[in-house]
Amino acid sequence: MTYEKQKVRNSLALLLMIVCLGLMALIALRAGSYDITISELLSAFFGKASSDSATLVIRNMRLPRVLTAIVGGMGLGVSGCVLQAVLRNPLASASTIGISQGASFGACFAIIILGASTSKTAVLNTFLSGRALVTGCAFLFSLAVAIAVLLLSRFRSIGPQSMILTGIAFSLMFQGGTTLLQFFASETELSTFVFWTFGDLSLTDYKDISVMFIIVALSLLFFWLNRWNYNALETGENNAISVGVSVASLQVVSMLICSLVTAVIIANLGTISFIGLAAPHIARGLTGSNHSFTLPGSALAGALLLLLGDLISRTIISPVVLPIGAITAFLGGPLFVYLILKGGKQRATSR
Amino acid sequence: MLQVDNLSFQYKRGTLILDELAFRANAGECLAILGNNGAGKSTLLKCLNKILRPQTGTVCLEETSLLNLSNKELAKHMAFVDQQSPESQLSVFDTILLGRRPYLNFVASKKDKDLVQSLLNDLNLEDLAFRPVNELSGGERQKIMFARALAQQPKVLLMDEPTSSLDLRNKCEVLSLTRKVTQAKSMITIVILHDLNLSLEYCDRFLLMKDHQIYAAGDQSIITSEAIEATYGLRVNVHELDGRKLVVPIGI
Repeated sequence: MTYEKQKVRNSLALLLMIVCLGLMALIALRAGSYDITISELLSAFFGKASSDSATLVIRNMRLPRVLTAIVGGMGLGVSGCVLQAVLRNPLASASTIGISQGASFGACFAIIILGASTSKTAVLNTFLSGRALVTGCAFLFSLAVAIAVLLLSRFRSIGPQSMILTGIAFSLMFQGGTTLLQFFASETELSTFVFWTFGDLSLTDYKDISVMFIIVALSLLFFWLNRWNYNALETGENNAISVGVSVASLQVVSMLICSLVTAVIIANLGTISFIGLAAPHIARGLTGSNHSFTLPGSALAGALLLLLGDLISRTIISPVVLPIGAITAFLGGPLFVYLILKGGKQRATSR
Repeated sequence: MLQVDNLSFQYKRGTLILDELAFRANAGECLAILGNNGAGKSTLLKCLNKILRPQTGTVCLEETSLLNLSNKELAKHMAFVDQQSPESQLSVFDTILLGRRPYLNFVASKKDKDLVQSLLNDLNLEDLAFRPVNELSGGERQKIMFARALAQQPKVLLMDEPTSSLDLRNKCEVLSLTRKVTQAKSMITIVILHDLNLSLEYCDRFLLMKDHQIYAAGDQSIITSEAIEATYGLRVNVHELDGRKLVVPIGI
């Protein structure tokens, strides 16, 4: 086998994922109580459908949902991949080290203490719209967690398992904080907040989606430009420095961007866990560990997973839509246990 | 020539690890750093390579002051093989290709890949090229990290115990290749070795470290039973065998 063959193989794997994503998106656009054929669906998609109701259902209801799942899943997947690379920890992801929980606490804080509401009709009559205030708060708290994790890993050099334990500690702390805030919340605030604990893909409009898209796309670009650096980090910090990587600043900037991406997605979608944990592992299985392929692979796997999760949540007891956050957590939990066991076995044999 | 002067390092609030070291290393020669555990050998290498920042001192390669270069520029002059080899899932080929990182911006050229392929051939690693590094033995991993360092085409090669988990044949293979490349490319190689006899066979110059300072430096004439006893705290006989020195321990 040559290097070129390897590259072609990995590119084909990526292509396969793109095709799967396209098919899955079509299935997701079709699924629902309003029945529609594929040809009608495509013409509605391009705004040429014979019936107005088809156009309305596809373009205004299902398409935003599908796009939200794709963009959100990509962001969660790729930031999981980068977190695992910079923290050198296969168990790391926004939800396992506490970044997600920090973000949802921030969102809760914005709604209940700062009075931001995310309902479409009640956009605050101020400089900041409700969503932006929620996003900003979510970002601040997720960033605080990211900085704490980074400090712990750099100056205390804690191992992978301990890092997850501190993640659990952060999660519990923020959950406690969230509960306290809820205790003092009014009923309307509470109902707004339930959104964050359930996760929901239906509350985004095209403007929200474009904001998410721009941030996810820019972060993907940044990560992609640093793919060699993440590869170098894979071989250890000292080796990375010796091939010219500025490890400390790479870690700080990467963590910052991961927190931003996570915060934006969580502010729009609610808490959705385990996508960021699972996607990089799926990507590595399909495309190998070179970040030239793992980064786009993780983004695609994240999008696929979230789309699949949403499809399950919508169809399993249709027409009831189950909370997506609960579905991903339910599917992701066993995977997490499996990774912990696998990691333990690897360490045992490497001794 | 590499000139190191007045190099001192200490951890924050810690004891002095390197105490105003100064030495020279010549192009085309292998310099062995010898000494007990904790003498500061690894710290010295890490300070030369900016993995640790020395508090005082200069490291000059000809006219270039290496400590003032950016990490990326430094990586074009100096390569480093760490004591521990990584547990990475990256393939062998990609790992060695990382040695080209200081030179490339976005894509690896055909020249870079050809270089990696020729290093794989030189070190008999072709069959492993697309295996993940963490599936290989410790010895194979050390050879891969050595290949990665050579892919950097450095002027100075630093190696911290590059042969610790290699068997005798692979030790000799790596060290003789090191020497060959050092002479052919007139590189400066600085290597930490624990095996005195191996260092006597493959190195040209020696630097004995004791208590964070340099005890003696020079060619193999400095390897005497007195010097070894003073630096290692071990009584040895130094024999001559087939024109080569041989250090034989005789007790504490």
